[in-house]
Amino acid sequence: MFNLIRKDVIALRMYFLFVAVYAVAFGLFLVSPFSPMMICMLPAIMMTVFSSSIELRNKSLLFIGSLPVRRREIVLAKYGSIFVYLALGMLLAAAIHAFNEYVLDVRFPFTALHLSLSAELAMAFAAIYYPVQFWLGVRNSSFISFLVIFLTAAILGGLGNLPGKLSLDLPSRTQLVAGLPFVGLLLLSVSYRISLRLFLRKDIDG
Amino acid sequence: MNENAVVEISRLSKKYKRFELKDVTMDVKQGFITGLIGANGAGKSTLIKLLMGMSLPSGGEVRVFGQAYASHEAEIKERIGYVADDCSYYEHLTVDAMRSIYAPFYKRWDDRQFARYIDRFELSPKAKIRSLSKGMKMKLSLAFALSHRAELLVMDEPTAGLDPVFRRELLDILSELMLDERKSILFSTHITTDLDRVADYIAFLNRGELVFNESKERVFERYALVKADKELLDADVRRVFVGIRETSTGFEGLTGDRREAERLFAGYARIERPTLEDIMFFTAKGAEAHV
Repeated sequence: MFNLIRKDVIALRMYFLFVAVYAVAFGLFLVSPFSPMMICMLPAIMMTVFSSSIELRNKSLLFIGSLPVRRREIVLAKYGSIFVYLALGMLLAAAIHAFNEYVLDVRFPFTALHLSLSAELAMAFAAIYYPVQFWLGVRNSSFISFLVIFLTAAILGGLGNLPGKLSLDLPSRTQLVAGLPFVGLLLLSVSYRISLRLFLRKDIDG
Repeated sequence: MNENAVVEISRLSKKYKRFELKDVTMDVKQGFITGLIGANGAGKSTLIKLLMGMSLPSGGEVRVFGQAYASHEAEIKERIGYVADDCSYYEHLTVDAMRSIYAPFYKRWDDRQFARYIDRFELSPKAKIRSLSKGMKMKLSLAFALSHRAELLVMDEPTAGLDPVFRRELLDILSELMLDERKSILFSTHITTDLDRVADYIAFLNRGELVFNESKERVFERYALVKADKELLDADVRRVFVGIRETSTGFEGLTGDRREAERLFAGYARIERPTLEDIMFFTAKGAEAHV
């Protein structure tokens, strides 16, 4: 599974630059209340979509299908890569936060709740995206993928400055911080089982 | 398991909307080159994808190295070098970046071997894959397949799109590989002259059905091409042939029973050894061919 995730990281390396530019743009020049969550969460969503897109363009599933890995690992790696992209988003958001706060002396609120909500939304996106992709194929699922991205962006618009506005007392805020990723993991777990069931019954084609 | 077989295919079928691979039973023998022939759409790629575990059969079973894909998928593929009919590598990457993706998947990857093939095929490690011609991509695919000490090489139309010089070189490489008796090769092609040079066994698929899987010598012993005047061609004679091609003056017919043909036509017709292309053509066209 590690090699499959590594494969995606190498194949996407040019896109990492794009994500970095995007983070700098929205973190330093176009700062808004949504910026922390956008920087944290959208790399995971973008990289997931980019990864599928280059796989479709190159018919890479044919190459992947010939590698000495089990089908189960192919599905698991797709879900595993979400955490890599999410970690990248979090690192970027933390770096932008530090640069704003300590170098530029600009307020850039980035809290545990931002992190938690970003992780939950990115996992929820993957939990919907992958089963649809395994069911319909990348090409046929692109419209649904677009719809899911649109909905996620809309949710982000609605929730972007929510963490700042939430005046919850400490236990419930803590519960929320811990609970949201847990919900995300639960969704991913159910989604993985659905994707695996679909992929084990399908031919691997480009 | 048949001791000499690296691949055992038993009653294998695969149904698509417009095509069906029907009840194929065959094996690929260790230490030999098996050529899979058939017209476009005969089911060669379907059979290879089933053999690679990439397609799931509608019925029947595939065992490779005596193991089934359901329980030993990764172990089986570790021992197979696969060359697809189309390049499915990441086109935006360089040859070397693709190597860095590919190599870690194989426990027995040999970087030196890969470098030797890259050099032999005149591929630059810095070249972007999208900049390579179809033939160069095929060479790259071959370099990957040959660099992890695979015991079985499976190639889907590897000579399609290659210039005659490299086609001959590829066949030489395959012959070199066969010096190691533990290695086996299955490759599909519709360029049957390639198989005349190197194949030991020929498996022939026609419209999703296996016509034969026999040693090349046995195929040529069995089949005969009969050329004679049209007057000979009555209803009984027609039944002797797998396929007939009629012209205004005479006919050519392919029979799968050379002895019977010699008994019937000696002195009346020319009986020749058919090429693999003749066998493919007459079998595919049956009694329909007219000129």
